[in-house]
Amino acid sequence: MNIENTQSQMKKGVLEFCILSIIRRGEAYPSDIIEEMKKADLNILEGTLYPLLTRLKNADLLSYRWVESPSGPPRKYFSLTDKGLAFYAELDATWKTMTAAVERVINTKGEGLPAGQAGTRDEGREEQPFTVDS
Amino acid sequence: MKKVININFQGRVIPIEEPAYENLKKYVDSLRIYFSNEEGKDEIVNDIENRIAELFNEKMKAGASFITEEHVEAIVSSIGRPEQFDEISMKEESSSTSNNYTGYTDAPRGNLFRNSKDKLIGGVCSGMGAYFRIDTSIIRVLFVLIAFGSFGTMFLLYIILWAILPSKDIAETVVRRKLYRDPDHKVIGGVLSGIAQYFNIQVWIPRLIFLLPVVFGVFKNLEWFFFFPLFNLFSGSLVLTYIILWAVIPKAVTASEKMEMKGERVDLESIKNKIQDELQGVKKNIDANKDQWKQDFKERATSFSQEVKETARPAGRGFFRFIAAVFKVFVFFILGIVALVLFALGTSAILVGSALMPLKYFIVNSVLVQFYGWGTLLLFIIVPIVALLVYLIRKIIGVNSRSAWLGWTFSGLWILGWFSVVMLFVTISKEFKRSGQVKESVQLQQPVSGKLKLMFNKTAGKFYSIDFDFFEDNDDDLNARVEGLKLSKQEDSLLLNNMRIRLEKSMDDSFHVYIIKRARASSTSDAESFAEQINFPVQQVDSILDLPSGFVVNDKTKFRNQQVIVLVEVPVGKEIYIDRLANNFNWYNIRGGVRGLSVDIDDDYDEVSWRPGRWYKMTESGIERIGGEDEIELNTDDLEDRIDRLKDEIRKKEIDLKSIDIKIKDKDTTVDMHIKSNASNHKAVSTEMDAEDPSRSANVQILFRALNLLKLAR
Repeated sequence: MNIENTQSQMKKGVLEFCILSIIRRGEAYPSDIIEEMKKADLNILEGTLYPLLTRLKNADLLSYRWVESPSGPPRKYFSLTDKGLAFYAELDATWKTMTAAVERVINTKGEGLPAGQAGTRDEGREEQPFTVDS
Repeated sequence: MKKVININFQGRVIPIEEPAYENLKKYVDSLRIYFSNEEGKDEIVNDIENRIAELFNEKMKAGASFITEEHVEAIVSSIGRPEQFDEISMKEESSSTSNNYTGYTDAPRGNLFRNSKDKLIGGVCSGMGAYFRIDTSIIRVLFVLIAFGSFGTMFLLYIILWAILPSKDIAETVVRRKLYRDPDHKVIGGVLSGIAQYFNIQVWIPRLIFLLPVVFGVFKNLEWFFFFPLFNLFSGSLVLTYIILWAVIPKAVTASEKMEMKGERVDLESIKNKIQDELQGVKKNIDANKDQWKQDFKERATSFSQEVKETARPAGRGFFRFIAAVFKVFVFFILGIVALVLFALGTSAILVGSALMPLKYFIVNSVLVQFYGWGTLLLFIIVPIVALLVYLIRKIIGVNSRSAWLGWTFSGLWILGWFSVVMLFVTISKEFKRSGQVKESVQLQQPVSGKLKLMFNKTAGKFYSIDFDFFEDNDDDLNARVEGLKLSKQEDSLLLNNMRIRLEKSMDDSFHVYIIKRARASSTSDAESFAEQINFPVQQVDSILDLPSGFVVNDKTKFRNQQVIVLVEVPVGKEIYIDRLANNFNWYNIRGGVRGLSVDIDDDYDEVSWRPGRWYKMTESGIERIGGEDEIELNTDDLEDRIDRLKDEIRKKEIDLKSIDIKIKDKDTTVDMHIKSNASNHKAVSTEMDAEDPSRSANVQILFRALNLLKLAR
């Protein structure tokens, strides 16, 4: 088995969610998005992002407008549509449920254990293994 | 110094280095292919181009006056290459520009297994290949060769190994250079091209090595004109070997396989370069190549994410594919042999033609015919041979010129050759269309004894017979000799003995002798004049009429199927004897006509009623033999024949004799033979044997004993 394969699959799963959350915070154009991801140590290539944005746009989750730029060609600025917002909300809920479930599974000692149990955590996440947020 | 061009990129004019532009174009094309199945692919590519344009703009703003290769490289690596698009890296990895895929894992050798992944039958050879780090195909080939040599015992070994060795999924290991069949440079199956690629030698070398035994085999059997060189053991086994190699060695289909075949580095860059080279080479089938490229890209994408280099191969060749392959090989070999046959026939035609060359002056009387003759030789015979040779050599060397002018030129010349042949035959046959005849009567002094004897003398001058001694091996099959035609030493005249003797009853009680001369020409008057020119002097000494045994034509009198008939009218009650030499006369007719030239040859001198060498008496009812049954009959004809043949034999075996003299006396039984030879260890042998029994077989025995003596004397 190939570990990079699995890792890549894991990342692919959350990519859409991440992008949508970035755009949700404010209108953004692709380079912006990549910058944001980079800040979070999630490096993606423009060649990955562009098709994804197009797909989301074609699914009516995103919309864009052209903005003239003083330096260079016009840029596409993306923002979430209503449908996109709803979509995002769903994904958010899914994410929270899933992370909780996964935490539960990987901590084999069972429920009711105090927090602070050793285990893999994503960076920058709170250590709330068993709380289910709304 | 590099060329800088202006391009219209996303609505803006951008100055860019030409090589940078090339790279950019390739990159954008690769994107198009990668996204070709995506919905909204145009938009995606456009977006990316847009981004690139933005980056160009930044560079220009930063002070660059044009976009360089380095700029493009940097931009491409920051946006990423298609095969990297699905990856997301967590850490601060910068995607490298060239992903060097080393398929060469340093897997430990481990134990000997059977390779379940790459098996043709049981995977034994493949496993051994992995273990010994040798290309599987080589092991297979070796295996097959040894198997054939050991008459199948190796197969037993194979089965044992199959049973013993455990099977395992062996990943591809070190093999850098593999033996493939090369489908791009193939004549039949690409086997020899693949071998050439593997050993890095010119392709014509293995081809020549393979073909030489076949060629020699064919030529060795040339003189029999029955071409079954396939049954010639060596070349037959070569055909078999070729077929086996065809079945065993895999074909290099994908780009990576083709590069393995050549031993080049298998990584992205070189694959890309290789594909681009191929694209430039085949400009016609753009679509097909694009699909291929796309497919290669897809393959690479999948392979990168799975680290599997080789796609699974079909486990075994289909049975029908194998049969088709065998058939194709056989067809090619047979075609090759047919070509060689034609070549051989052509060369023998040349040889025959050159042997007959001295005759041309006797037939030809105009420049035009000479012209046709040469035309025939060159265009009709030599041109196809040369064309064939050229074709073969080109195929062997592997030259692939698309120009058809060579084929057209040769065809045109050959058609001219046909024309020459036809004209040649037409003009020559015209010369033999009409016949003319002259009848001369001989002043005869009636013989006192009432018996007339016709004797033939030798013509003055030295004449040699024309024979075709092709192969210097006294092989009677191919040595032909033109009968009845002898050429003088200076090659300026021909001795013909186209003669017949006719005996008829005389109207009165005297002998009459007429010489009828015949010849042919394009008109009757010409034919008559040719006939008249035949020199046939007759002399009489008492009761012996001395006639020439042949007549001469030279390039003034020409060869025009001259014939001489000696008509002897014998009165009733008188006797006539024709000398035995008349047996040697030939009789042939060469007729030219509407349908061309026809040659009748009358070998048997089969006059109905009489034979030379005997006395005959003319009676009322016809000619009759003198002498009844009780006469001792020596049947000297056969003996004469044998003597002639003996002389021939001696001549052929090049026995240098001083003299050989065999006398068989009429009604006698003495064979008198004197042989004196030049060789030092030969002595003069003289035998005089006297047989009591005058029967024929005794004489024959004597003769044979003499022959044996002769053999000893050698």
